[in-house]
Amino acid sequence: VARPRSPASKAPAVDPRPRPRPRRRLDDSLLRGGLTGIAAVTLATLGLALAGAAIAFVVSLFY
Amino acid sequence: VLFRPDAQDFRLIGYYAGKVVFGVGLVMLVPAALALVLGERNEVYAFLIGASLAVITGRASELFLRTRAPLSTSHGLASVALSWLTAPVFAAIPLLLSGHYASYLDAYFESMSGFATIGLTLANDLDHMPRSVNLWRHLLQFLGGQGIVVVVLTVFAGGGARVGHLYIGEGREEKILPNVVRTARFIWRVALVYAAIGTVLLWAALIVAGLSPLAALYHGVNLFMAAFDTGGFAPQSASVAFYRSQLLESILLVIMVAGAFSFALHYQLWQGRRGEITRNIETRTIAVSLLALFAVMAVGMGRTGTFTEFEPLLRHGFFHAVSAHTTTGLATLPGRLYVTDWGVLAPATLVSAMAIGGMAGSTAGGIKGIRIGLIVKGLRRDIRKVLLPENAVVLETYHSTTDRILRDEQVRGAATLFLLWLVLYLGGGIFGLFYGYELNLALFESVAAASSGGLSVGLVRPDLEWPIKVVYIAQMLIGRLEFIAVFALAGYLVAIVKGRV
Repeated sequence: VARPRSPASKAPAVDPRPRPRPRRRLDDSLLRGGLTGIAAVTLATLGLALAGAAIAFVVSLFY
Repeated sequence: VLFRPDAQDFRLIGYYAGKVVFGVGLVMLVPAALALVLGERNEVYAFLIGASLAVITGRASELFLRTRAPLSTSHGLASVALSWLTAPVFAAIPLLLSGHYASYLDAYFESMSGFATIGLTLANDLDHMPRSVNLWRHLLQFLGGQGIVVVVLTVFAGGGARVGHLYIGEGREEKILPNVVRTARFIWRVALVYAAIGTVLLWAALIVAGLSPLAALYHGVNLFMAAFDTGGFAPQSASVAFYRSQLLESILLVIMVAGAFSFALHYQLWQGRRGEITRNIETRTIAVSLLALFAVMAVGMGRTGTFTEFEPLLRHGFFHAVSAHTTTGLATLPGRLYVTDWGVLAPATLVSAMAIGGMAGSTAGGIKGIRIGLIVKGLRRDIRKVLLPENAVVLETYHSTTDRILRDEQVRGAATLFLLWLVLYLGGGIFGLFYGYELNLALFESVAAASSGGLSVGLVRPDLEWPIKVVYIAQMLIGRLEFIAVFALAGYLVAIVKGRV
């Protein structure tokens, strides 16, 4: 007669080895985003400089 | 209820200030190493003396004041203010020993100007200053711009949840990531990535301008720290004009703008959300204000005949407008010209730009774009309320990372700080009047000191009266910490004076 299994034996086996640390996905994406961020700042500065150039051009016409 | 701090409170405040002093001492080893490499023997000793005193004092305060008491917000704020007062005490030592400062007060002024990223200088003969000492001036800006307390505690003391109170005290209200240590790491990451790319670009531009590769590297590193941390010190007394390079000035423009962006905005951009740059209330406010002020400046210059042609108007005028608005303080022209050649209107726009400043949570100073933006939005809402029927519900929204509804207390808070800033600016200006300086000069320098703008009309020089130097030091500290931390420390000091301890 087969004896019922104890509850402990039903538990899944636990691998005693230390699990590898999950990669920091957020940090990785931040590093990848670095160049995107710098490009955005450069474009913003360029936009401001172009607007500034338009102002300087108009003012130089008057004086 | 009376505020009655006990010995434990003072131990806590001193303990954290000691940690910061210890960290500043360790950072002094960087210019000491450069002095050793360059054979600047006197400077090696000067930095070792300064570092030893800072490390010993820092360690001693840690040993004698160690406590397990929890750090509250008021402790954190007072600690930050005390740290910002004591760190320059030690940072000034190698400056004084270099022989380029007339007194210890001048060296302390220079240290505070560096830490608070102001850019006003009292150095004698800057062009012949030892390179290690000049590097130290720029490193002070880098440390101060990043936030010395948070930098030191996250790098040298392992950070921890307690750093949160100190983070707020340094004028950084917004946590970008869920905890302060990760936020500080992100700030470091942004700074280091920009440092790598920015320094290489500046190095290349300086070589094109005629410097040797090694000299270009030295100047590039220093200029990067001055521009990104919106500091305004420069390796040469002629500031950026020394290099006579449009390419260099263009690169510096981008770096200054990057420095004036909040780290929260950098985070959004680094996440790929480029739309944030055009939707954010602060970027919009600053863009409108910068362009409007530049237009007025250009008209002012045109009327006085300072610059009437397109190229110099854009090159010098726009560079100064950006330098002032980002509160950097780098200049392509000598500061005396603002008074002698620019008339009245153009310098007034520089003062206004410095007064407004950059974004909250950036390395820039001033009132900040978010407060101006919120006040303008509040005003618009009030006008609409008057115009629309009485039962109409008027909601004003703004965008800062997400869409938000404007609340009364936000407008009230922004208006209160706006008023405090005006008092700070005017207070320094009026103090200058007592010593016989003209209002325009006194107000210009006062705003430059308090807002961390750093452009100067030449009032700040070694022979300036010492009480004005002291007032400017106070303005730099109060402006950089945005009032609250200084008020907290003052609260503890008043408690001591009144015997409520």
